[in-house]
Amino acid sequence: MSGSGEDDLNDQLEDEEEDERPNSAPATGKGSKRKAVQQFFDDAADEDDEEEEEEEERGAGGERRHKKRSVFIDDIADVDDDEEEEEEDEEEAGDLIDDQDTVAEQAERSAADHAQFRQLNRQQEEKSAEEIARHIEERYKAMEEGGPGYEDEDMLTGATGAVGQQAMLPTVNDPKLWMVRARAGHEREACIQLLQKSYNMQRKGTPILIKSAFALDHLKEYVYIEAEKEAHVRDAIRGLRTMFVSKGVRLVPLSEMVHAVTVNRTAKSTIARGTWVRVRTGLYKDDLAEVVDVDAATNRAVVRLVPRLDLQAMASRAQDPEARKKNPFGRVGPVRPPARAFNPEEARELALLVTRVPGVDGQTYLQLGSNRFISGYLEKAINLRSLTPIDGAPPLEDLQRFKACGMAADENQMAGGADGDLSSLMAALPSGVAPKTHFVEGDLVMIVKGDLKNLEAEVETTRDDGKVMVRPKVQDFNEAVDFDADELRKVFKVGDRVRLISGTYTGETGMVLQMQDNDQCIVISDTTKQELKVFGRDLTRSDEPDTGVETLGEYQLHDLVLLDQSTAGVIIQIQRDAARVLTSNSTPGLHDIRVVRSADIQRKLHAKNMVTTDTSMNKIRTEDLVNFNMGGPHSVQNRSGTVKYIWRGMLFVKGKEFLDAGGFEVVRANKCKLRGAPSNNADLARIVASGSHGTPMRTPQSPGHGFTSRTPTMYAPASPGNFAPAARVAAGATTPSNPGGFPAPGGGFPPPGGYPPPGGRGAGPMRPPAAGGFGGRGRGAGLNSLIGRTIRVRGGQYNGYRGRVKHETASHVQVEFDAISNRLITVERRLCHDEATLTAPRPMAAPSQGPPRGVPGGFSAPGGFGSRGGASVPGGFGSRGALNGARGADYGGAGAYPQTPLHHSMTPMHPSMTPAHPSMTPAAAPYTPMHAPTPTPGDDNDFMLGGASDYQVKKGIECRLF
Amino acid sequence: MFYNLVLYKDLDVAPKWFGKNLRQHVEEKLIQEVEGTCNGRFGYVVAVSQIVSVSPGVIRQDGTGFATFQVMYKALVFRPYKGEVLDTSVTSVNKMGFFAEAGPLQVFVSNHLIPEDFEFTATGDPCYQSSDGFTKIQEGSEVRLRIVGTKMDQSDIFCIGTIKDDYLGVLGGPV
Repeated sequence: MSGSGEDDLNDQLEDEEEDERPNSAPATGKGSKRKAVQQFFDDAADEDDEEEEEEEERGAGGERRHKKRSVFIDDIADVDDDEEEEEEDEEEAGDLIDDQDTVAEQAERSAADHAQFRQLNRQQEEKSAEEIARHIEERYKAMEEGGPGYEDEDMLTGATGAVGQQAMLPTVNDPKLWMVRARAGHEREACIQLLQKSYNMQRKGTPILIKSAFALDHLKEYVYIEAEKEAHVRDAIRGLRTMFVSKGVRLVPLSEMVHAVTVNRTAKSTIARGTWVRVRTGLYKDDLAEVVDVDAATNRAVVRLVPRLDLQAMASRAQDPEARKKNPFGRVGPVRPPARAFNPEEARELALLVTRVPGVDGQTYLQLGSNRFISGYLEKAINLRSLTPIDGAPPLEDLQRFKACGMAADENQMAGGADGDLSSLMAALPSGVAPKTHFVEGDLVMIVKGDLKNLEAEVETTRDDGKVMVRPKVQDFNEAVDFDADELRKVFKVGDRVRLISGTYTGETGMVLQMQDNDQCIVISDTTKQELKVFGRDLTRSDEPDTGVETLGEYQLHDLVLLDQSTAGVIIQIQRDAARVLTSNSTPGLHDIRVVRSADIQRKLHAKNMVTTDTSMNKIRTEDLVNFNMGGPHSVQNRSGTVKYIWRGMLFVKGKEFLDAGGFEVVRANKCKLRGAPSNNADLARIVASGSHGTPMRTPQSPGHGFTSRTPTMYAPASPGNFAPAARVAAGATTPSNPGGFPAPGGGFPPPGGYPPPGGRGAGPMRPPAAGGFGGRGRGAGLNSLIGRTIRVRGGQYNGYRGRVKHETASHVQVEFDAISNRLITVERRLCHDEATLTAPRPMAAPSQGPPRGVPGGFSAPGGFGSRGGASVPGGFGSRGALNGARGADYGGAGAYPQTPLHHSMTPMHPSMTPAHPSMTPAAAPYTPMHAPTPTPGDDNDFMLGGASDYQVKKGIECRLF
Repeated sequence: MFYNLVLYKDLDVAPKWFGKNLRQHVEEKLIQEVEGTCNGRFGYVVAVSQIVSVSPGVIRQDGTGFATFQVMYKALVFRPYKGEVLDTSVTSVNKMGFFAEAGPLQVFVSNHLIPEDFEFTATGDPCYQSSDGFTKIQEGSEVRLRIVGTKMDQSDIFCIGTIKDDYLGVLGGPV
């Protein structure tokens, strides 16, 4: 544009202004601004067109603003308007004059309309307070009287003073308000019907006499009708199917009339355009949705959702008429499809028709069936009632998923990854929705806005009005300054211990790994050792040396809990109202982690005193160190850890290396090896045979010897002092190889293959039960435990009683006798004989059920011996008889059951045999000696033949120990 | 940092040890019970260096017959501090960072605290490799790091460390 053109324009502008001035009030701020603009035009006449474009844009913006503005500040917009017109003039120089005329006319019209107010506005600046007050009064007075501003409702409600309000309250002379019952859900309809009826009746010449009718959304089943008399109301509603005359008409008391029509602000929906909501029901239950539009009239909102479409099902429906018949409305099955961005290509591939539909605001929707999609989202009109507004911002994960949908659809951002950047998410959050940071005293903050930007400060207090008092960290600055919460940001230093106070990870503690610019923080969790990406505002410093232990009801982190009858697990993480449990179904490398609520947990298990055996039958207790001894990947095989719990042969092992499942691994006990234990039986035999005590075998846990196996050192007892006295004496008194002195004979390690038998093969197993129980058993329930077994007492006060063992110690057991109910009786352990093992070799016991002490007589009792055929019988009996004699001499009463010691000791070797023969009935009893619960009769013979004398020797020794 | 501290411990001794070897047993038991433990205040008890005194035993009045001895002993303790520089050996490497051990202490170095020019490589043994390819952090590497955060538990200490600083980083490869 040439310089001369500009000049022309300026002239016109000036003319224009002069034209306008007589109409409008003189000397506005705007006017002077325009002058400045002209100045600019003069000065920079040679400047390029950009400035003009700018001007144009400003003008256009002005016009837009104009539309929204109230009439009372219209004057500015008008001027803007003019300006724009002028700029258009620049381009269309030919139409100049005509345009100006129109402009002038317009200006004149609007100016005439609001002349008073302009004047007011412009003069206000120069007037004193009283004058202004007077003018305001005038202005509103004019309005009350129906002045130019009267039609503006906003003005009316806003300006009516208290006195005016009072005057408007209903009096006894006014029509009354009546409440009428209406059909539920048809309240609005009822009102419309009344309106229609009123028209119709009017036309007929018999108008209904009610004044008005209205229904309230929050008041179901009622319609209010304003009328002078009840009869009028009854007349009006008679014959309408939506309202019930019969249910009566209630007069609303005068004092409550105002309440009836007052819109309850709190009841008003908070769902507005741009807010986040959750869908309450249906296919999209609990899904996050963004509100696009709200229509209060129809009570519906248009929301954007991540679609859950089953395209496959839709396609098959479209092709298969049968399927359509079965499921006419395309209902979705019980499994709802995953939420995924809509991809029109996929739909087209399945031969589904995707059409383009123009939207109201110029966007193009894709339509598939009845679903409309825009940039991957589904747009759907949903009843407001089935939407739940979300307080503040939605959880980050949901938001990420939601935004990822849009991004996945947007091909340009495909490369950006689907998980969405936090900062862009932040930007996407509507500003009003962003949750407020919660500051607590002592928080270190940074000022992010204003003059003190980037200054660090410490929070002193938070005030009720939301302001935060902070003390900037500047030398000699001791004043507290108040800031808005959004002017501050929490800062943390790397390594700070923090606790999460909101978001999904609420309650977790951790250490700050990194602080990023946009208030994001990377925190390593204490419990899971995982990195969490969180907002700084969700963190708070946790200086207290808390253990990070959280509790869920009565359960604590790292508790062993019972989930169902066949599953237990260790709590590895506790969340707000649930716990993550590593269950016993896991294997190393394949964790079964369940998220359970407190109610899903049956109880806490106290499995501290459990014992089990490892792959080479070493006893494993809690707090023992084990190595994993299993196939599989190298990484798994070489692991080791401390046994924390033992449950049904599963070990819950804790170790530093196990990062995935809260520091725990679950492994089957027989896939583990006790650390420091001999590697196999041959080793064991060698160790035993060598008689050296400095070998790395487990020390026996003798009664009263209560040290815990904390450190590996205990597996290498350097001094014999670590041995239990019983074991020591036994070992010293007999041959070194005597397993009677070995710590764990009851623990059931099998007779070693390469066993040097100087002391006789039967030596070990022939140990009497009492002694075996003593030497091998720890304080708790070992494998040789009698707990739960049925025993019979031999000797003492309770001789002959039978009962079930409830508790046991090294020397005594508590028994519940069949004959004495509801009482536990303590009996010496050596008097107790396991019923299951007793039954087998004791043919006479079963039929008589008494305690037959007279041994020889007993043989005749069942009469069943005759049925035994074969020559072996007498031989067998012969030897037994001999044994009996020998024992009887030694032990008196106890010797009456010589078989017991023999067979008892078999049990640990063949533990499964005992339950296999649980009930030896009297009829079967005679046979039992032959089919005694030992699969190897040879053993039996060994005992009978060669073992007797040896046995006696040892027995004598061990008895002395007691 | 290591300290040689005087500490106290109450030991319960079973009556069967009440003999000429009592003192020896008390010493053994003390070592068994305290060495290798961790204490939120003093850190790890690395070794008992000297038993200063053993108090006369007091028989417990709970029927067990145990006697309680208060033992005063000197022990070498190891307590990590924020800002302390440690030489550690790497025990495991993953994409989140690596774990290193300095004796009983476990230190985690997050990949945010590893210099940017180190890249995680998952092929073969997982390791962090510098962009020039000369330095590698893998299992067994010796790394000098600085502790930036500690978490002291009743029974354990966990630290996070950084090697993103001057004079920190790999000292040597796996042997």
